Amino acid sequence: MKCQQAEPILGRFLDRDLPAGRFAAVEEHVRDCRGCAERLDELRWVLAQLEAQPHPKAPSDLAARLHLRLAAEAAPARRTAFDIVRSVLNWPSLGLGAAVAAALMFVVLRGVQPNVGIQVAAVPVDQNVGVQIAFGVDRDVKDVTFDIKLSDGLRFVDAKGQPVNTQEVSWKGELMRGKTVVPVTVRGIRPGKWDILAIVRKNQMARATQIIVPVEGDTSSGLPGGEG
Amino acid sequence: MASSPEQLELIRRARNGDKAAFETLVAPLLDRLFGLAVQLMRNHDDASDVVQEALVKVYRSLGSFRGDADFFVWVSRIVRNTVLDELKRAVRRHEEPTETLPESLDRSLEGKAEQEELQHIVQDCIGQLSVKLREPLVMYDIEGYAYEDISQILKLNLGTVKSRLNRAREALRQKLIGQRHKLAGWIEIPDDGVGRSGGGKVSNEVPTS
Repeated sequence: MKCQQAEPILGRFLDRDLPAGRFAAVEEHVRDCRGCAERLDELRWVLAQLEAQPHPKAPSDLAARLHLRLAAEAAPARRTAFDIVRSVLNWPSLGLGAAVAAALMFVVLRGVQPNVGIQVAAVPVDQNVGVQIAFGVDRDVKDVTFDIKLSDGLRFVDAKGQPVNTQEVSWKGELMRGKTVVPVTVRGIRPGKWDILAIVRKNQMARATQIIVPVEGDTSSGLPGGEG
Repeated sequence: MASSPEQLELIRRARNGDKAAFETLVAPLLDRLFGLAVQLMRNHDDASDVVQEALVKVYRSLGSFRGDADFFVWVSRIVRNTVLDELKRAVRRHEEPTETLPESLDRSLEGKAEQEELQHIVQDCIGQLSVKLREPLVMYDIEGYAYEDISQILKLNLGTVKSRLNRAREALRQKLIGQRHKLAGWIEIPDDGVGRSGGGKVSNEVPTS
């Protein structure tokens, strides 16, 4: 290795952020090259100084000043689609159990995309499953309507992870450029091949994607309100 | 790293207008956010104002927070953007940044005076770096953000983050070496080899291939 190859990666050498082969090459080079060895030592000293920089604490009045500023604030902007969904869907429970599945739905408002059914791994009856629905757009899109509909054998769950008699959630919102992920937690309440239908609408355009959720096993528990 | 369930619950409550929940949510983050702002702005008083302003923006924008993101990283990005806005405003006002660093950085304090003098020189040199170079240096080498977090905060890919960090370190090395006369007695060049100087980023881990 030559000096001009070693110099740009001395920092990563100190961070041990190099593949083993390149790391060994730099190590060998600085052993033989006095200039690079000095440079490495200087850099090491610089990093030690950065590490030793004090971490100032926030002024004691910052929290109080923030409190006063917030007092003058209205509630945050209207509740978003995601908030409404989350209040219904217990989204922190996405990681429940081993039956968490993820499916990505990319909805492109401009241009035609075929609706493709995505099948997730089968889940046992009475077990919650988390599905991530990703809405992807290449620019910000405002005033969009979202719909998530469940077929008969699936139910949304509440904050405690218990099924509720809700099979359709609809809200208005906006899609930000890039990917917006909505985690959805549902429970399979009876065996069968059920689906989650996610629809996004903008004016006269609509795109829908079907996520198929196979539910296996025997029905063992009922639903609130005597269903199931 | 995603936000914790506790954070998510506080966010849910704050979105519904529960300001106490919001204050509970951000209280543990204040020191780190303030540290980031101080290091980027080089000014203690302005940093405090900027963090406060940024947190009000965070409160107003809670509706757009994505639950699969790391709340701290999201807030850090808003703080960083607010810092940039303030720096641009200062340029428009033709203001020179004034060094009003916190007391712990005040070189006039008695005791540890030499160490603080050294810190002051380092701070001076960091302050001379462009914002573009200062950001990754401050975040990675001082504030301890991970590459991936910096990548999200600055909206840069990992390679660019590492490249800028490397350039920032090299620029800082050159500036500090250029101040050798002030640093006499402080620079102790170790023998050679990796990990002998006690530098904070040197570890004994075996590099991955």
